[in-house]
Order: sequence, then C-alpha cells, then structure tokens
Amino acid sequence: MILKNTLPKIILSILLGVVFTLSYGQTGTINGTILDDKKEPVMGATVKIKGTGLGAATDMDGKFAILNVPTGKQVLQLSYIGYVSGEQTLDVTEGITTAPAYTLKEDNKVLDEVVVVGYGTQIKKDVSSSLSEVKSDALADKPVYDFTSSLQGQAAGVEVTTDNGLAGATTTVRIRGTKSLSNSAEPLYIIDGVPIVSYDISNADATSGYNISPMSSIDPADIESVVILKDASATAIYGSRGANGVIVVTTKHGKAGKPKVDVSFTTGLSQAAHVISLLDGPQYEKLYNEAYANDNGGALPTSYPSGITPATAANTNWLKLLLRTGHFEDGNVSISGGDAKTTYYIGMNYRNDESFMVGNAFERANFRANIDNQVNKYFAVGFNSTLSYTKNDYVPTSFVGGLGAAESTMLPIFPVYNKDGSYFLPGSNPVAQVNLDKSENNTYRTVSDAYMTVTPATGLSFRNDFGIDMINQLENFYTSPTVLQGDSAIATDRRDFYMTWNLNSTLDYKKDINANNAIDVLVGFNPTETTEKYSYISQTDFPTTTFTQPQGGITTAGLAGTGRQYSFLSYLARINYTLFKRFLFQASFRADGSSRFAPGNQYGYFPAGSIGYVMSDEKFFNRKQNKMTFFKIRASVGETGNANMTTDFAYLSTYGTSVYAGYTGISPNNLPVPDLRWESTLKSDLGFDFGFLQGRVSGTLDFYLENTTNMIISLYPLTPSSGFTSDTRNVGSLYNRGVELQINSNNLGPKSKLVWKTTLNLSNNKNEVTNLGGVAEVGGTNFGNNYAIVGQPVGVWDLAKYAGINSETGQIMIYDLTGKAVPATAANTVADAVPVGRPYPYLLGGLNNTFTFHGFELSVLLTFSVGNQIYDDDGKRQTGDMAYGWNQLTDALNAWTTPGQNTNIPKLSLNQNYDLNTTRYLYNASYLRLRTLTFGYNFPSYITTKMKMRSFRVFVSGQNLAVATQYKGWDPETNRDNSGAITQGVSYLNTPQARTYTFGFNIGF
Amino acid sequence: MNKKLLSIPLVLALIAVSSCKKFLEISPQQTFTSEIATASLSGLTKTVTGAFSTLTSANLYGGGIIANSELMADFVTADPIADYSLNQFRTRQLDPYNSQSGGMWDDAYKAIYIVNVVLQSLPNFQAQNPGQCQLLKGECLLIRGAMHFELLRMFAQPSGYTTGDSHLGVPLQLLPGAVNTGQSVPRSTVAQCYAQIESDLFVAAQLLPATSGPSGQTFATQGAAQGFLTRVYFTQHNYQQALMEADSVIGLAGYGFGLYQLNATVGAIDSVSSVASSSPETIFQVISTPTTYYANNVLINRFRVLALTAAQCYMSQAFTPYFQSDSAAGGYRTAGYAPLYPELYTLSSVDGPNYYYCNKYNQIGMNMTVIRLAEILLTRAECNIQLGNSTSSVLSDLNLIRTRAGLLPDNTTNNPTALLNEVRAQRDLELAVEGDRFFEIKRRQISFASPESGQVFQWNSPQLVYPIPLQEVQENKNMVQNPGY
Repeated sequence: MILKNTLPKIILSILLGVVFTLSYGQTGTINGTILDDKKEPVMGATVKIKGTGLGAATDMDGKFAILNVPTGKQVLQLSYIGYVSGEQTLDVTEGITTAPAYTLKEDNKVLDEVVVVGYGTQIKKDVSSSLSEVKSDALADKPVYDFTSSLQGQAAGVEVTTDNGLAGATTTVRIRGTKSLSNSAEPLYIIDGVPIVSYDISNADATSGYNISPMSSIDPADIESVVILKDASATAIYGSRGANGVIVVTTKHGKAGKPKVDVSFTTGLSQAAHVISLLDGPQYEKLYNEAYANDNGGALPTSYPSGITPATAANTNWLKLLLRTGHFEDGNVSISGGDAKTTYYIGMNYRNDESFMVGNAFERANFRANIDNQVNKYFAVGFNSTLSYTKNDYVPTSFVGGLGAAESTMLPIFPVYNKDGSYFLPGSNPVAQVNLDKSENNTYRTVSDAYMTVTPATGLSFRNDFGIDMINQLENFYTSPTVLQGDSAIATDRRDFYMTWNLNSTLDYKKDINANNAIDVLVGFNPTETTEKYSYISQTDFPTTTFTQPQGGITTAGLAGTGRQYSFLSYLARINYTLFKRFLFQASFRADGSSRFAPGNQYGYFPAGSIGYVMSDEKFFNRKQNKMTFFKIRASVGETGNANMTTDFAYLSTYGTSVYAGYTGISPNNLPVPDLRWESTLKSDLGFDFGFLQGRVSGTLDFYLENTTNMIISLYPLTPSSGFTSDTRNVGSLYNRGVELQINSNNLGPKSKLVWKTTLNLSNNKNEVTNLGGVAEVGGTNFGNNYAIVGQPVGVWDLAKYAGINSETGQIMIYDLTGKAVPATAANTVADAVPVGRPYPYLLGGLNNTFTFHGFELSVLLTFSVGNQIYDDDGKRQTGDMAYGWNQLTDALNAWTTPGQNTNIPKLSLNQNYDLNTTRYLYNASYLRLRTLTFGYNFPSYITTKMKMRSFRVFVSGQNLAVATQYKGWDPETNRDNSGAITQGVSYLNTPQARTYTFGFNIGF
Repeated sequence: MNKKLLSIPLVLALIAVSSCKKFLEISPQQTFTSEIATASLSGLTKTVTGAFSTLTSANLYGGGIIANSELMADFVTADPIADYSLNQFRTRQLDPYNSQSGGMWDDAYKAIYIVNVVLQSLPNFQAQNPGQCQLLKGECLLIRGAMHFELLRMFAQPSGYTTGDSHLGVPLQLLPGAVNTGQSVPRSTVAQCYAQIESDLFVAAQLLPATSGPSGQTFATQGAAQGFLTRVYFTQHNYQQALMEADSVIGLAGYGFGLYQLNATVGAIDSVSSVASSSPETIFQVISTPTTYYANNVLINRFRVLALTAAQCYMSQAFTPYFQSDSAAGGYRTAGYAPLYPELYTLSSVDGPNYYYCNKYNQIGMNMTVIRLAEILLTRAECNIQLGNSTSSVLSDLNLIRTRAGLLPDNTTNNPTALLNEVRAQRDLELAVEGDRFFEIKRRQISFASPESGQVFQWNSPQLVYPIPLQEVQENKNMVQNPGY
C-alpha cells in the first residue's frame, strides 16, 4: 500500500535523477546533506528543484549534489518514504552553493493502518468482516518453537491447545468451534500467500505416541503479523478451504532506510509444569499386599509381578529417571533495510531445545530472505523465501512406552538394572528405550514465493505470486536388540516428500471515484496442487551391533510406500465499495474446484457479503459528548466449505490388493460415491467495533452463528447385502454459535508516564450436532469414548454415571438408566452409558496487562478455559485398579478396607478388574493459567547511542508459572495423539506441559 | 495508461485458464480404481483373484462356515467361550448383533458384489480373448452360486421346510449394486434361490475347464461346479440330479481312473499343505499362500490341541459311539496307524478332563478343502439307496471309503434301511468336523441333543437358522427377519 501510494513520486524522482538536463544561462551546483531527527544521515532521499526537471538522491552519507541549477532563489523539495516531505528555499549562486543540513522528520502519523486479508490488504477502518490480528510483539521472545502456541489467549474466538510440553509437539487450533466430524477441523494456514501443509506428516504418532508440529519449521521471529480470518466475509474468499477459519501469516519485510540489524538471544530452563503423584516402592508393596490379602482371606503374597519378590523389590522413581531440567537456546539475527527501490529482510535463526524429558530434543536452523524491488513505474518484483532445517529427537510416550510406561506398567518395585548390570526387562524398560533406541526426524522445508506485479495504470495492478511449500522429511528409527529382547536390532528409514505449489494471480483495481465513492475490485485465479510420495524400508539381522541404519541389514523386514495427490482450482472475485467514507460494502465470490470430488461435482460456489457502517463518522454523532470516539457496526453472511478430507479419492471405488494362491488379486474397498461434496458452513456475524476517549479504550464485540451442513460421515451404514456395509456421505449437520469480546485499553491515558495497557478477550461458543443422517453416534479417531451424538456437543462422552464407592462392599457403583446405583460391570457400563460433558470450553480467553515505566516493562498474560472436561483414559487403571497391573496414583492409598468407610477408591483386588469407562475419570478441566510473565528493561537512548546501538533490551520471562485447576492429571491443557475433530480432551498417559524460565536480550543496531 | 502492458494479464489469464482444464482430473497413483480394474481383461482377472481371496475370509471358507456350523451341530462342543459372539453358536442362541454370522453375511455378499462387477464387464472383452472370458465367467458364476448357497443354508430354513420350498431364502444379488441401487433387494423364496444357484453352477460347469492345467490362474474346475451342484441337489433331496452330477464328478471311466482319486491315506484334508501338493482327492479348495496367508488359521486356533494349550473345541459325547465302533474295528480314522496314517483325533487332558481333539487342521499353512471326492462318493451311495438302485452300486462306493479307512469291505448289508444307516454312519465319521454334519441334520430332518445342555433341537428349530444381521434389517426396507429374532 505504501509502495503504491508513493510510487509515482519515487519513479519520477528516479527518472529525474538520471536524466541529463540541458541548462540555460547561469547555473550553479548545490551541495547539501539530509539528516533525520536523530541527526543521522538519510540515504536515498530525493531532492528536487521545484519547477525544473532537476534533482538528485542522497548517498550513504546523506549528501547530495545537483549540477546546473539556475542561479537565484530556488525551492528544494525534499522527500523520502516514511518521512514528512518538506520544502526549503535556497539562494543559488554561480559556482558551488552549500546548503545547510536539512532535517526530515519521521512520519509518525500512520495514515491508514492496513490489515492483511485474503488475497490482499485493506484499510483497517474499512474492514467490514470479522478478523483478529496478532502482531509480532506477541509472538517474539516466547520460549516456544511454534507460533501457533503463542496465539493462546491473544485473539477472541481462537482456542489454542498446546497438546503437551515435548519439544516439537503439536498445537491444536479451533476457530469458532469444531465444524466437522470426519474432515480436519483445523484452520487453513497461509504463509505469504502460500497455503501450507499444516498437518503432521511424520510417523511420530505410531512410533512415539505423539504428533510433531508442522509449524515448527517457521521461525516466530520472522513473523510480522498473524491475521485470523473468522467470519464468512473474511473466509469465503478461500471457498472450500475456509470453513474452519484461515490463519494468514505475513513475514517481515525491510523498510527503506538505513540498514537495521537486530540481534536477539534467549535461553532458558524448562521443567515439567506439574508432576503427578504415583506410588513409590513401599507404598506399592503395601497396596499389593492389601489387594492380595483381600483376595486370599488375609494371606500375604510371596511374590510380586515379573518375578519380583518382597526381598528383591526395588524402589524406583521411574518418572524421575525420565524427567530432567531441560534447556534451550534461541538466537536470531536479522538485517533489514533498503532504499526507495529495493527493500530487504534477511533473518537467521538457530534454536536448540532439549526438553524436560530425557532424550527429547528439537533443533532448528532457519534462513529467511524477503526481497522486494520496484523495477520501474510498471513492474515490481520480489520474493519471500525461507529455508529451514528442523530436527526432532522423539522419545517414546503414552502407549509406546517411555514416560507412558513409567507412569503405568513400570512398577516402582522394578529395578532399572538386574544384579548383573543388564537392564531389567519385564516387557519394556523406558530407561533402556531412552538410552539405546533412536528415533530421529530430519526435516528440510522451504516455504517460498516469488511475485511480479504489473501496474499498467494508476490503481490497476496485476499480480502473479507463485509459491511452494516443499518438505523433505527423513525419519530414522532404531530399536536395539536389548529393547526387542531379540538377537538383532530393527532399523527403519522413512522418507516423505511433500510438495505444494500455488499460484495467486490477481487483478486489482482501486479507484476513488470522487470524494464520496471509492471502489476496490479484485478478481483472481488460484490453482494449487499437493503431491506426496513416501516410502520406508525396515531391516533387521545386522552383522554387528553398530549398525543403526537400515542399509546395513541382511533381512528386509518391511518395504512400503504410498503417496497422495490433490489439487484445487479456484476463481475468485471481490468488490469493496465505500460510500461517504462510512458505509462499507463488500461482496465476494469464489468458484472452487477440487480433485477430491467426482467430475461434475468438483465445483462449489461460495458467495459472501458484508456491510459496515462507521456511525462515528456521522455529524450527528457527537464524539465529545459521547466520549465514544469510534463506532462501527458490521454484519456479514456467506458460505464456506471444507474439503480437508483425510483421503483424496473418497468419491471413487478404490481397490485394495490381496494375495490368493501366490497371485495378486484386487478387490474394491468401497462403493463409488459420485455425489460426495464438500461440507458447507453458512456463517453469519454481527459485530461492533468501538473506541472511547480518543482511542484509549477500544474493542470489538461479535456475535456469530455458523451452520454446517452436508457434513461428511465416513461410516454411513449401507445394506450389507449390497456388498458393502458403509460408505461416505454428506448427511450430518451441526451449528456453532457464540460471542466474542476483545477490549484494548490504555488505562492511565497517553499522558501518564506509567503506561498500563490491558487487553482482554473472551469467547463463548456453543456447539451442537443437529443431524447425523440417522446414525446414532459417530466415534472419534482414537480411544477415549468421545462421540458425535445428535443434540450434544461434538466430542461428548458416552459414559456410565459414577455413583461413588459402595461404603459397605467397596465396589465402584454407577447409576443405571433408572437412576438406581448398581455395581459397575463390563456390561452395564456400556448399557447404562449416557452422553455427558464437553471437551470444549464454554468460555475461554486471555487477559494481558503490560506496564511500562521509563525503560521498565512488565507484562502478565493470564489465559483461562471454563467448562470443559478431560477424560483420563488411563486413570481408570491408576485409581485403585491393582488388577490391571499398573502403578497407581497415591490417591489409591485411601482404598476401601472396612464396611462403613466412605472413600473414593474401591476395594483393592488383584482379580477384580475395574478397567471400566465411567464418569469417575471425567474431570473438570477448567483452568486459569499464568501463561507468561515477562519483566524487561529497555536501555535509554543516551546509553544505547554511546554503545552505538539503536536499542538494547534485556528481559526475564516465565512461561506456565502457575495454573489453578481442579484437574489432578499432568495438565488441564492436553490432547492425546492423533486427536481429530471428535476425539478431544482425552488424556492417555499423556505428557506434561513445560514450565520455562527464560532470559534474553534484544539488540538493535 | 500503458495499453500494451494490459495485454500481459490478459495473455497470462488465457494461458492459465486454458491449461487448467484437466487440472482437477487427478487419478490415484497408489491404488486401483474400479475404472482401471474393469478397463482391461488383466484387471478383471486380478479382480477374480481378489474374489477368491475374499472366499478365504475367516467368516467363509477360511474357517467360519465349518467351525461355526460344527459348533451349532452335535459332534463338536466347547466349554463356555469368553467371546460374546462365538459363545452364541455354542448355546445356539444367536442375536442379530452376532459379529460372526453378520460377518459371514457381509463377506459372502462382498464376494458376490465383486464377481457381479466382473460379470458385468466381461462382455466388453469377449472378442479380445474368448477363452479367458469363458474361464473368468465360469469362476465368477461358481463363486456367486457357492456364496448364495452358503448363505441360503445358514440364513434360511432348509429345503423341505415348506411345500415347494416357498419359505423365505436370501436376497439374490445378480448385479453390482450402487449407493442408490441394490440397497433394498428382498429375500427370494428358497425355491427361487435354488433355481438361481443351480443355473449359475450349471453354466459354470459348462464354462470351466476339466483341469486347472499345468500353469496359469485357474482356481476352479468343472468338477468344482459339479461338486457344488451335487451338494445343491442332494440338499434338496433331488437324488436323481445329485446322482447325475456325482457321476459327472467321479467320471464314467470308473473309480481311480477319473480326474479325482481317493488319497491313499485317510484324512485328505490334513495331508495337503501347499498349492503344489494338491491332493488328487480335492475337488475344490481355497489355497494358502506360503508366509502371506494361511487359509486354515481360524480352524487351527479352534481345534488344534498343543502340549500345554487346550483347543477351544473338542469332540462331544455324541461322537463317542462312532468313535468307539470304528476304533474297535481298527479304523484308521480313529485308531490311526502310525506312521503312515496320522491320528485324526488326539486324546488330551490338558483341559482337565480327557477329551478327544480333532487333528484335521493341525498343519500350519494348509489349503482349506471345500469339497473332496469322499463326500461325492458317499453322496452317490445315498442317492443310489434313495432311488432304489442296486445294492452293489451302493456298496462299491461305500467300500472305497471303508477300505481306505482300514475297515473290511462290507459285502453283506443289503437291507436298504441298514444300508442307509451304514452309508450315513460312514459319512458322519468320514466328514466329521468338515462342516457336513449340521446340514445333514437338516437334510435328514432329524433331531439332536445339545452336547452342552442336553436340550433337544429339531432339524427345523428356528434357533438353527442364523438371524439376518441387524444392519441389513435396519437398512434394507424390504428385509424380513427370521422368526425368533
């Protein structure tokens, strides 16, 4: 925008600077200097002699010289991007005239703040759709590798769950609730115009029990802004990809002016934010004896599980052996700057993060170059490019072992080593796993785009922006013979190549027709295609124990490969019309074709419209009396889609292979579904933007209703005699409705020396499944008893209601469907299950307070979540269920022993298995978290100037310092691996969150 | 305005729009689609192979048809089984949720769907390779006939339940259905079902080759179709037709000179363990692929007793008389004759009491015999009795079975009733635990006592008919559930 507005000036001055001018009469030469407010020379500023074709640009020292200037009084016009232009009069004489040093003042008046929207930018005031913007300062210097994690509590309507505290793990993001069951419910991510692969493509889930973040290859320090597009008017321009909301990331660009060098370094320590309390060895023995005695008329056992006896029982704290104090170091160097024609931003990042879990590490090296060049009056070109290397050292967790085993199957009475020094291996041994096995992921990724903009006429621009997201991922897994308890190791290589290319071709025409009418018309064309090829080889029988790579094995244990391919072809149009500068109209339309649907059904049409009214610009709106200085009403309605299917050819009858009598056979996996369509969401939004007291307090209030129909159910039942029992159909529907409030306040006003700024955002969302096409319930992607059930929120649990422990018998009781308390059994916990709870909160939000006084700053971010539950899927085996063979929570020490005793733990037994799903393990997971506390100091300019610095800041920060919750597990913020739209709020031997203490500094030169 | 520059967007837009016409037409690179499978004869050939592979399902010839019907009948019993569905066969109290009977329904119709796809596409290739088309059509019709027959035997009352077999059979699926069609095919009557099955198998018998030849993918022969036809007619008490088909299978050239010969040793089904060593007695089997797929996995797990592990199923008291009389006469099938003749039954007390466990499926990686010559000989023997043919024609077949099993030839019995009893006794003994007894109870229209509870079941008890699976009843608006469910 800035470029375009000042383009004619720049081009003119460039032309003037190089044109040789003939002169008449007497002439002289002007020598001069241009400085900025800080008396620093300004390079590239333009000096023109008014009324002539003469002019020059300043050099590195801010000096300029203009030859052949006619003598006499001349007016010098000084201008430079980002500075207030000025005129100076000078008496030119024959020969050399030395001009005084002119000062250009920096232009602090930001004319019209712009915000990134789909396929372009808009002036903030003119926006009539619902979006939230998170600026770089909210993302910088956070001890996280993934910027999405830092969005927590920053924007209304955005629910961010860091799945666990492992280095490299994923974050789950929901914008205005969950709008799908079978498809992905995650938003679309656009980085500098390129739609990127935002799902975990690795094998970490299967091998290590958690997912790794695809966003970790993006350095948060390179991000200028993150805009979250929410309503129809903002997202419909992304058509069948916009229903879940769109997160548009714009990276930093250089600004014309002196080169700026920014160096920042952060380092810190991390630890598990909370450690659960498990039985130690003697406690376990006590409970084992108690359980044995209960089963055997008071007798005591002579042996414990896995060959351990009372004499050999150890006291091992397995958690302690796997947890440590982690540390991380993160260094960033960026250089940015440019002149009137070319600007650049070069950023480099290195991060090394060894988390609080032994063996887990994340490493990133990242290089970014963003370069923009105004070639001439007609052409502008540039590119944004990032090259990144990320390395993840996986550790086994959850069902795979490691920490998961340490809190379950690894009893505290087990020793780590046998007497002979070998590992004690009752199946698995997490210490052996961590020490001997290796799981490594090396990812090389580039997200890059290059553009060319042609401007044939003022206001008309044609932009072609071609981008790629290329991921090359190599995973290497090695399982040692010791862990396998076999003769040979198994080593596996898995290679995954992902390539997305995208072309945004847009034609934009902006015109202020007259003082009262302005239009902006955009039409565009956007093809994009993603291809994946993956293969793996697994080998065993290694000649020596030193081989950890599959190429050295004798026997090939596994060879496999597959891939995927999908494309979207879209045509889009948008018109913005502003009447009287206060009535805002926007209409958009996207025709979106996808390879994921049958020919004939490939195209979907996604219209949207919005209106806005800046009431505060009306004459009748008396700002002084009202104290309300800004008031805008917005309303939007439109349709978006979801084609984020987990398979690419669901509409086809695909064939699987089989072997019969040594011959390869093929047979259909499913019936063709030629009618398959994207899911569609009709979104409507009513919003108010307001400002009081000259903008000291501003905010946004939004009400929305989003109706999703044609929701895909992948196991829609068929008549089995037709040959198939199910197919995929668009039969479901649900809605999300909610309220969002965002308030920004400068509490003490602009004159106060102590600046206290508060931002608060609150979001409420109600979600209800309204139709499943006659299907009673749809299950989730993983265990945990989450379902979609008509009349219930997505992810509701179907569980028998816990009725306490029978004080006479010590049995776990449930309420049957008539409300009577009965002992829980395998049969009645299924038969008497009722929908209960919700994995998503009623209310979530963030409260950020920042205090600055002179150079000191203190910021406190609180985040909270109210009304959601967690189902502790492993808890049923850890709270008094000795028969399952796992270690128990220390709560189990309160087990029922005598009739009449009121307790929450059943009678212990080694025979009576309590591994039953009831609401006993469904916990309130509301929380209030001290997410970030930062204290920083900015050195004053008299010191930095002496040190030849532009700025110097030091800070200390703590992340996840405290959390208030009733939930007793690792952390109320958690998600198990392979969670989908339905499976949420489930913990299965999950991993804790990290608490980090950070020290860092930022230096600008 | 520079008008020349305006042409840049226009030209680029034109190129982009015109080159993207086929941009969305992506076909899967990693998986076949129905279009590819049906576009060539080799695709159809592979699809037929896939259909045979479906027959190896654990719910079909991979075990379920044999194991579950034996558990419903009286020779095989088990202690209470933890598996909810499996225990229902033992107690003969199935419900429409039963995953095994439901699985049989789903898988059999899946196989029928696959062959219907092939049958629909085959005419396109008739000119290209008539010979291959003929083979594939024969194999498809055999599978369709066999699967409808197996479904009919389990999910409907047997032939003879009503006059003219006008009671309900199963849905006949003769076209590949789609999401919108084939979803509500009603049950045909048993007579209609048999007519269709006979027609399919009759055509198959005409199309299939006599032998599978030295090489090539021929998984079924004329004999297989005729063997099934023998069963189909025999089950309907149509002894004239059954006799004709049995004659065709056995061959007019005389015993031992036809395509099929009795194995030298008893228990043909446990002597075959790979494709190459197909027994001369086998008429139709489903074939294992070494290291990849073992057709008898289910049966091994149900029946094989190991030194320390009891099998789920063992021989019941109802089988004891057969066992004792044969054993007393020195019959190889019960007493064994080491080392030449393996013991078909092992007495083991690993489960506590002493039970006889059946050894017929002990070898890992066996093929699963569906029809073998011994059955056809015994069927022909009974047909000859039922039709009042000469005693000698009965005895010649019967004695082939007797002498191979180590018994003396029977040349004396000529009372038709006594002869019938002897033929049936030999049949029960010979084909025990091979999935014959349950259907013989229904054909002979006899009753039996449950070895577990002692409860007497009539041949036409509704409890001996599988329930139509719940999903079929819910989704097929024309479906009628069997009585009692």
